[in-house]
Amino acid sequence: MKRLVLLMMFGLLISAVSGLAGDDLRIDKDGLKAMLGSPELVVLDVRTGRDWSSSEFKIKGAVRAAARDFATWSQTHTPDQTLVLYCA
Amino acid sequence: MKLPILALSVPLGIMLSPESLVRLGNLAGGGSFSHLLLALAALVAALGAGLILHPGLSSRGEGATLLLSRELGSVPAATLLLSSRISVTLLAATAVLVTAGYAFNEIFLYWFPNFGFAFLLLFLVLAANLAGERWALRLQVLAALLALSCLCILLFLGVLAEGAPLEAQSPINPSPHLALGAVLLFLGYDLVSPAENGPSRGAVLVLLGLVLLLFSCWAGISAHFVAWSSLADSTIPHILAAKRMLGQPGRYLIGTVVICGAVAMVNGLFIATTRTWLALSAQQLVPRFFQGRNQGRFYCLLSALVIGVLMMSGLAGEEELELYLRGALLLWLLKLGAHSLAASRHLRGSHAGVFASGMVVSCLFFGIVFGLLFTDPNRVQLTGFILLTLAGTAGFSWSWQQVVKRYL
Repeated sequence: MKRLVLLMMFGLLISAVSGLAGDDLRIDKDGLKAMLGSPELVVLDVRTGRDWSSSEFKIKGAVRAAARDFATWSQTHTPDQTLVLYCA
Repeated sequence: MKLPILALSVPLGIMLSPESLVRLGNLAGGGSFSHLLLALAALVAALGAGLILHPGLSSRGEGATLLLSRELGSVPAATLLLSSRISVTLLAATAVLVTAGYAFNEIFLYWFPNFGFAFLLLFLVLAANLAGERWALRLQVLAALLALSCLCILLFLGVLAEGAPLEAQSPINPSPHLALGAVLLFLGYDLVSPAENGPSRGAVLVLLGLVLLLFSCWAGISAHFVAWSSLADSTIPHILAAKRMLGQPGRYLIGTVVICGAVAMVNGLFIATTRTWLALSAQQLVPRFFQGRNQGRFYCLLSALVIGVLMMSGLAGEEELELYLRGALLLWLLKLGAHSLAASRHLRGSHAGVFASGMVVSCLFFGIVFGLLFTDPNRVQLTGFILLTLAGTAGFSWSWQQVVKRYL
């Protein structure tokens, strides 16, 4: 029983943390609109292949950055910059 | 099958595909030079069509397969036909269906999932082909004519519309790869109905002339509304041009062209690939899994299944798809070169003059294949893909012929 309670508490903790993380890491279009023009803002378009080439909607000034090359492009930004990634 | 439009709708559908619109738009960035390139590409296509559809060659159902296997041998014939048809069908269908899905999602219904729409189109094409070639051809005519009509309406309204004056600019010289790739805009003339009542060579040449006129007008009008540099660099130059011409109505019209062009391309390739499979199996060059009409249905079902799996696997979101697609199109050009060679050899006895010109045409195709391969930024991987595909299909057809010789 103790194990079950511990497991449930661990599960609750995980979901709370992920929920908090979700709140912190997501941004809606109005939020981004308000930030556009800020020198600290870097918009990264992580779409690849047809997902990117067939789409008409591309944010002006967005830089293309493939998710698979994360290790490479993540090094080119400083911690004081705000990175916004979009994939759809 | 008596009306030429039924048979001509297959090449027309391929020529009006979203792939062609992108390539044409990028070429249009080259200004007046693009018109010269288009004319040269149409000339190459006309020379190829003139030879492949020569009245002296058999135009019956198994024409191309018989001709290639008689003149080049059964294994090379099966290899070239299988590798070019299957790779283009599977890869181009995956690419253009996803493109059509995006067009529908971004232009018509934003809440509708793009992949859901791509699968709906695949299901539509499969249903028409399962119902029989008659229904597939009806869908082909409908899709190709709708795409053509919308493009013509856009052109007409674009001529009437007044574009905002563009800043002083100079055309962007197309890269050698893009310039050579103009030939790909006129692919599909070898897919005309091989039935006895199929269109004459003249009808196909008229079609090529009309498509050249349409493409030249579209390139001209696009450059009137969009800066050359934007056209040359864009991945959606046709949508940019339509939007600048007519605003939202222009987007709706070009969206219809993209969706109908995608259906026409995929459906046309399904029809052509099924015919090729049937012709090859009739000569025991590939296995025959079922009898009668079910044989064709089986190939369609199998193709749709593979395309569905490729779409689900996310291949369309990978850069590799473009590489594989370029390889598949080169295999198609390679097949056209071999087809021209076989046709000229076959006509050597009866039409002495055709042989020399046929050899020149086939060398032209092989030269373009080499040029496109050499100027490709990923030439090593591309060569690997082509060689692997050729080796795989050659191994398959050779093995099957051994089975036929020993056991059947």
